Amino acid sequence: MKKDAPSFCVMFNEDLCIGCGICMRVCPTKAIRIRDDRSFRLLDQCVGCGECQRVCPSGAIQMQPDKPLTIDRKKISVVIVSPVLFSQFPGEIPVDITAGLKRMGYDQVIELSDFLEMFQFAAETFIRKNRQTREAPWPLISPVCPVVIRLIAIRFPGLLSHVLPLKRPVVLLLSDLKQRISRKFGCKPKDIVVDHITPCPSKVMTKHSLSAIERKTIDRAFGINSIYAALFHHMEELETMEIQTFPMDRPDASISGRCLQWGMSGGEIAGMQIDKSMAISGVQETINYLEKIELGMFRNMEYIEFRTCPESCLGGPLTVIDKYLAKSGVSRLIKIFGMGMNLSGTKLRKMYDDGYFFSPVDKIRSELVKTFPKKFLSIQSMQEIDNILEKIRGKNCAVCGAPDCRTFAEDVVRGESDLEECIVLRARKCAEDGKDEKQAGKTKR
Amino acid sequence: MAVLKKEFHIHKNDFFRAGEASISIKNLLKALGIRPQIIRRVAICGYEGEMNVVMHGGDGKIIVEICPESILLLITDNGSGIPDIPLAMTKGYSTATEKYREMGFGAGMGLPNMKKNADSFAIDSVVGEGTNVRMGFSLTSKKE
Repeated sequence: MKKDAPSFCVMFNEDLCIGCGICMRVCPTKAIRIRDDRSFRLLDQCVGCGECQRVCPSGAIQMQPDKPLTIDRKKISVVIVSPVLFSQFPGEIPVDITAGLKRMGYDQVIELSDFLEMFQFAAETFIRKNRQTREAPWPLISPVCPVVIRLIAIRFPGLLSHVLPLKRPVVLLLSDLKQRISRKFGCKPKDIVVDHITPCPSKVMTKHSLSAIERKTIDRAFGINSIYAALFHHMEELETMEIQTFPMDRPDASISGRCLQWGMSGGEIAGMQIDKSMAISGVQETINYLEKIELGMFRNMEYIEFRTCPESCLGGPLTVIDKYLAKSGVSRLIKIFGMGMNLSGTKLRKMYDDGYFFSPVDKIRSELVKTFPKKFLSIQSMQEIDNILEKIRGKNCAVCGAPDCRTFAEDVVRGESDLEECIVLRARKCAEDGKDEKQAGKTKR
Repeated sequence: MAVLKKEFHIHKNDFFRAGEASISIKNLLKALGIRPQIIRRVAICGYEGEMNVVMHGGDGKIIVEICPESILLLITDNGSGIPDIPLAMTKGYSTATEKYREMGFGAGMGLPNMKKNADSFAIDSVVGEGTNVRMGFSLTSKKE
């Protein structure tokens, strides 16, 4: 298996690729080129949305490292689970899923309920204060989806100031995590392995995570799909056992309705008392609305939840069951669990005032800008591009290995592709040569 | 001197596609590496102009000229025209803005804000014939 494009989370298998180029056309940042029929090349503007994996008809694109999950019993293994995991087993309650993970060998299962609540509290407080201070421009954009943040950095840098300057829930969870675990289990931080189970392709390559604390603390990350069969097996085994032998551990079981709802589109704002808010999901929709915000629209909105996966994280590329089925199951559970709060408001308010929830936005912004180096064009090259397009008069056939004619023309002007690659130009030239020959033949006669 | 000129058509009552021209202009400016603050002002003015044409104008076009040191935005239509330009330029004066804003259209800003966002602004209009708006943006401008 040839592993190209180590820059981000896309794993490409040349043997499976049929060279259809569908991936190239759906890429929202035009980061894919196809060379020599089926050699996939990923440019550094990949944001990790997973659209290419979704559409690949031959399974040549995988969005995660292909290492299997093994748990070292000599170490303390903890696992941070995405709220989406609880939606993947309709009919099962969250504690059973937690119990299954423990049977797999995890010493502790950490879920995000409390941290989501903290985040929602902080976001609500910031928005309320912003009505007076106007510190940040409306509409504020949710900082939660890392793909959205990368998309903004690369295509809408002018909107970075709209991103809510708060830490994401997972970042709140990770602060001092290893120290807390080492105190609880009486072990050294280096003997702790922190795993993450996620539906999100942009989170499986932990060394490319958005924030420094994620890169530092999370040792390994796995897609839900890669551990699903093993977990399912353990859960089935548990069902056949006597109830007393359940490795049940109450502290792991404080999962709230907010947590369950989080993975659904609108799940983030559902737990916040902000009326002027809306939720948008899907990569194309996200781009459309970011374009509109840049035109000055939606200034009467206070908060927008963006997720690049359809129907939000429940539709993540690394999930297993159908997103609408998952949604239906989760909706049922929310009715049982309710949307109450676990944490004390007074305590949260104090933490907010102490600045606990604020993220170092300037640092993150400058890091993001560095990750995506800009390749600008001059007015002259822009005119050259127009001239090439005029000459090609193509149909975006993509045979050249670029997603559309404009991108191809840009590649040519930048010296990354050759005008000869254009099949339309070649065909036209052939036809003209043929005509010339015919005419030449006629005059001879 | 290198000048890049682009022209986009705006169709009467085409709310669905209103904004497309401004988005194209915006993306053009981004590819050229123009500062985000300037792009934002051009985009807001372009979109506001497009909406004006769609709502009150008729058929029209938006022309952008990009020079090494400035951007010129020309919005022209063959619509109903503005009878009283000073009144239309009054802050807060609007014919249907609030309603349109609630529908999710328009930035609800109108001509005075186009003037505010541009570095130079000129408007002329003949009732029954149409309106021309010319806006200039300096690429060295410090305006936020």
